Amino acid sequence: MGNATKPGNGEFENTAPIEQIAPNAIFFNEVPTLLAEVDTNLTYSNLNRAYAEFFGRTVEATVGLHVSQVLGASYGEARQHLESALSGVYERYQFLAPHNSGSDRWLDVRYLPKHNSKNEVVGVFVVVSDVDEIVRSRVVIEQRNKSLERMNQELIDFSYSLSHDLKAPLTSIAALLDVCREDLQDGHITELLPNIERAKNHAERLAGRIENVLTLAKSEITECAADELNIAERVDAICKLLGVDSHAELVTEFNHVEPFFSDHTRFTAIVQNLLSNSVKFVDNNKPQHRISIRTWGDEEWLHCSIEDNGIGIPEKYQSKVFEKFERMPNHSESGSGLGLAIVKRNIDFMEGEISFQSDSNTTRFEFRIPNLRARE
Amino acid sequence: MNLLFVIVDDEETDRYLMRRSLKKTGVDAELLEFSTGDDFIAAIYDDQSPLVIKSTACTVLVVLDINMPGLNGFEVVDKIAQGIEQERLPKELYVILMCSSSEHPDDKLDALNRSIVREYMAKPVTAEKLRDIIDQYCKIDQ
Repeated sequence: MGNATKPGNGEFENTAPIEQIAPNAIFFNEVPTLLAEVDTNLTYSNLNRAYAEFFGRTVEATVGLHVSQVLGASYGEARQHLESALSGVYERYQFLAPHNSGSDRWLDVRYLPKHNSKNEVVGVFVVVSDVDEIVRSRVVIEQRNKSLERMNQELIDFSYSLSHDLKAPLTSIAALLDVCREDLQDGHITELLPNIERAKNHAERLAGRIENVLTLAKSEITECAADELNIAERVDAICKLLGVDSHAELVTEFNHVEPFFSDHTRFTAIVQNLLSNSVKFVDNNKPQHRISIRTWGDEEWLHCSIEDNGIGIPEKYQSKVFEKFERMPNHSESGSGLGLAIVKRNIDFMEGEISFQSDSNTTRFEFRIPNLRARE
Repeated sequence: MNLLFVIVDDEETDRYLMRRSLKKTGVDAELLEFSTGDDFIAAIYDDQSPLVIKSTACTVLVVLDINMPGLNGFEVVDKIAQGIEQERLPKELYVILMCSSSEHPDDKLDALNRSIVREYMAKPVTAEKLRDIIDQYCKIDQ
């Protein structure tokens, strides 16, 4: 490389074409940049080690090969750029090339037309940088940005709904206390007790909402555990807790594969919220309230359906059922509008799926969650 | 009596508090209550509804909650405005007040941007406030 650089100032002194200096220069083979030269037939006349090794080849075995033999399926994309370079145009593009590891990598490719003394194009210099990490991290960053934007919007919506839904009961309680004080001062005691009772109900509902908000928040931040679950026992305990028996005729059928491993808390949150809706939204026009819980599945998935003959979800609200703070009209007293949002969050977190069908006869929620042991 | 006072609110307690404030104003009004916006909208188009029968001879003062399941307060207002525009509902009959426990500036703006909404009030609405509004917007015989 003695004639390539001028010691001391580091500037190129020699303006000779690369093919004259490169074969003799150690740096040509040592630079990490992929360098090559192709002739007008698109065969390699020269290349460095980085270029050959990227494609899992040696320099010697590659000289004389056609570009298509080295690029394989990626040649199609390179071809138009090469042809354009052969017509004298400087080309730069990025594409996925087959790396020797077996997985494709993103390359930043420049084609520089090589001219002879008559200014005719006699080949193309190829200068390639491996930009795989940059491109891939840019994709990841873009995805993260999008998800951050979405989360931010969700947070704004959430805090708005939250401020209303937590504030509304407090406003009511304060107003009821004012009313009670007024009545006491005026000596009117007939409405005192019912108003104290009202205030107490609001306070209890508020406590319930805060509990739900915390459950929801927790379901978004805690890790997924993988405990062995006794599904039948768990479902039974939830039914007892909700008093399902006293509200409806209950049928359970457990046909899933055991052992089943999942997150105990999340599974409970899902089933408890679905069942509590079944219990809450009974249709008093029907002679018998029925709720059935069924499980089935294989080594990988637990499927579970919870079905009732309650009032159902009117079609126009069906698209909103999994949204936070959505409540059905005429049942505002009973819910925080968070139950199904909690269900959905937990299912999503466990990488499961949930769907439902509802009409005035039957409402059926069906979900599946992975057996975490089977996934290991 | 020529004032029909309508409360549309999903919260039983809030309807009670509003009733109480109305009673305290001493204004003689007929009272109607709806627990959803859907029910209220159904009633204003129902020829058998007391709302329609009485309304021809009086002012209808509607106190409308914003956050309700089903049709929310804004959607209710838009449906009334639509009805007036299509001449299915009488113009100049409804005096609409929106109220909410939210003091979100967007809500207030959204409410007052609707031309048929006269006032936006934060809950709880006191008797004094209600009396002022009735005096201002309703021509009633006292």
